[in-house]
Amino acid sequence: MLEGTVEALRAAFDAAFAAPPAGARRDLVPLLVIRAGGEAIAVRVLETAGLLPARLIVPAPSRRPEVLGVCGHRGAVLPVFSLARLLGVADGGEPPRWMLLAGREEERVALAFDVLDGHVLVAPSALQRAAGQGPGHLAEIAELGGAGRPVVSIPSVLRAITEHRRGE
Amino acid sequence: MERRLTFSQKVALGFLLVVVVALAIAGVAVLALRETVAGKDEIIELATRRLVNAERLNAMSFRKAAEARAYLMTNDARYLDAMRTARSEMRRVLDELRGQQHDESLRPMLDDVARVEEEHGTAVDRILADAPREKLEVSAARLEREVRPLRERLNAAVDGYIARQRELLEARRRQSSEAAADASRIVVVLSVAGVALAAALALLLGRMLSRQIAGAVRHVETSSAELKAAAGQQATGAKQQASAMAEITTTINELLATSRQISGSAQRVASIASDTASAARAGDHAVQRSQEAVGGIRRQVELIVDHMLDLGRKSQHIGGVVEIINELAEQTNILAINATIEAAGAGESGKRFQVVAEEIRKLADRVAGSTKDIRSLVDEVRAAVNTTVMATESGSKAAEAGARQFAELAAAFSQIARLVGSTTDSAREIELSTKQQATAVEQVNEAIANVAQATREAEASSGQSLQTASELATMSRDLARLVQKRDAA
Repeated sequence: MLEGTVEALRAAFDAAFAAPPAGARRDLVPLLVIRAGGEAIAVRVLETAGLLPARLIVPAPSRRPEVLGVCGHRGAVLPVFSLARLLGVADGGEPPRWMLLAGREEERVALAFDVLDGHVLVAPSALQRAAGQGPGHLAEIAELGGAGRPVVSIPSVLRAITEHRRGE
Repeated sequence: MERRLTFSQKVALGFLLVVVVALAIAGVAVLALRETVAGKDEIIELATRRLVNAERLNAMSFRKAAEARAYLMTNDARYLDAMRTARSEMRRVLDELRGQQHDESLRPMLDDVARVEEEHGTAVDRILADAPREKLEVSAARLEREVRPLRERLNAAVDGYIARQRELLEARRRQSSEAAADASRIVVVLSVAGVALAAALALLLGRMLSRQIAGAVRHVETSSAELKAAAGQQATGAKQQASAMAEITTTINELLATSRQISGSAQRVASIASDTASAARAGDHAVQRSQEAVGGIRRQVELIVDHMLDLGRKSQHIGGVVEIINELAEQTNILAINATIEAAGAGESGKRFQVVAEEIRKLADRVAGSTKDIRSLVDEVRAAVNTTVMATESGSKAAEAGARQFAELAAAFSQIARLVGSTTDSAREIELSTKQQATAVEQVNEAIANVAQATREAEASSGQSLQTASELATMSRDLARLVQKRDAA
């Protein structure tokens, strides 16, 4: 069975070089399937600025409970927010393992979450607008494996952060 | 005091009293007889010696006169000597009578006879002295004249003495007869008294003994009845005992048969125990060999465990390498995602890079999937190794336990061999004891047979005792009737 797998891998690898450069399928939407505070959610990959492990978060005092601290990234210090708290969900209690980078470079923030379930490509038809007002940042529902998973709107989250910062 | 005397003592006492009375009577009779005999002896003495001597005086007087006349007529000296001999004989008789005489009335008469005889002798001597010178007729006339009166006086004195002697004899005879009569009366009176005493004693003893005999007879009747009942019970008991003895004999015979069976069984047990001891020794050797084999297995198992532990450690290394690969794949995946993001941000120029990044991400996904499979396989290998290690450790422990159990088994076999040896000895002792028991049981059986014989004899004796008790009861009733008749009489 392992030999068959090796053969399949080799064939797929070879096929990648054999096929014409058709480019990435632009009709498919890449999603990151994550969990924040025990809540299973998804994030549009292209709404983020990057993904990295949350190895060192230095706690920083703040009046906002969403702020976990700051971290260094490529020579810059970024504020780290708890994605779960921003979504209004309680933390799982464990330190977050992953961070999403979002926003423009001069306003870039890190959104920490707990679990990275994977990277998927879905058709646009698999994304549906959420019915009603919803919780705010969860504007879409992605159909993944026969079950609906809320898709977090990163621009909405960034707006909320920015508005709050301006409010201060 | 009287009650303390026994029957024989009382009878002996009564006879003793009767004997005392009889002895008293006999004593009195003996005394009376002795007195009578003494009187008779005296009478005989008087009648024989004194009276004879008196008669001899008379005869000597006549002989002396005759010899004197013969001398005068013949002048022969022999007649003179004969006359003198008769004269001296007469004097000797007179002296003897004087010595024998106890009655004072006779002594003067003897003196008178002696004096007259002296005078008569003197007169005769004087005539005889003159006779040779005188004529016969003169001497005869002188003799008639001078001597005759003296001779008549002498004869008269002698006759008087004899008469007096006869009177005394008669008086003594009467006295002796009266004494004998008195003794006879005393003996009669004593005899009557003895008879009366004997009769009184007989009556007293009879009544006394009748009472005692009647009491004893009643006791004997009661005792004979009790003896009869006891003999009956004894006979019944003897029959039951004989029956029980028969049952005991049967049981003893069964016990004897059982003892012999036990002896045979013990012999078989001894034989089997001996075979078992041999088998136990063989088992001991087999166990020792098995113990050595188990030791080899244990060493092999320990070697397998070491290899398995080494395999486990290498699996851990593989797991560590897989973790590195997984980490690399994850980082690659992240880099691919970031590359996709960066490519998307690069616009049209980044599209081709976005494709490569997507391929890289897919490859990283596949690597992650493969590492997941590898991790799963490594986990399975580790689990299998752990299971194998645990199994081999369990096997090692089981081998150790088996070795220990084999050692214990070997010890148990040795103990079994010893115990079987002890069992053999015990079985032999049981066999010997059972044989001795059988011998003892035979002796007991023989003793039981003797006891049964004794029981049968006791049964017969009980019957005899019963019969004797019946006879004793009959005799006691007869005796009681006799005693009651006597009491009634």
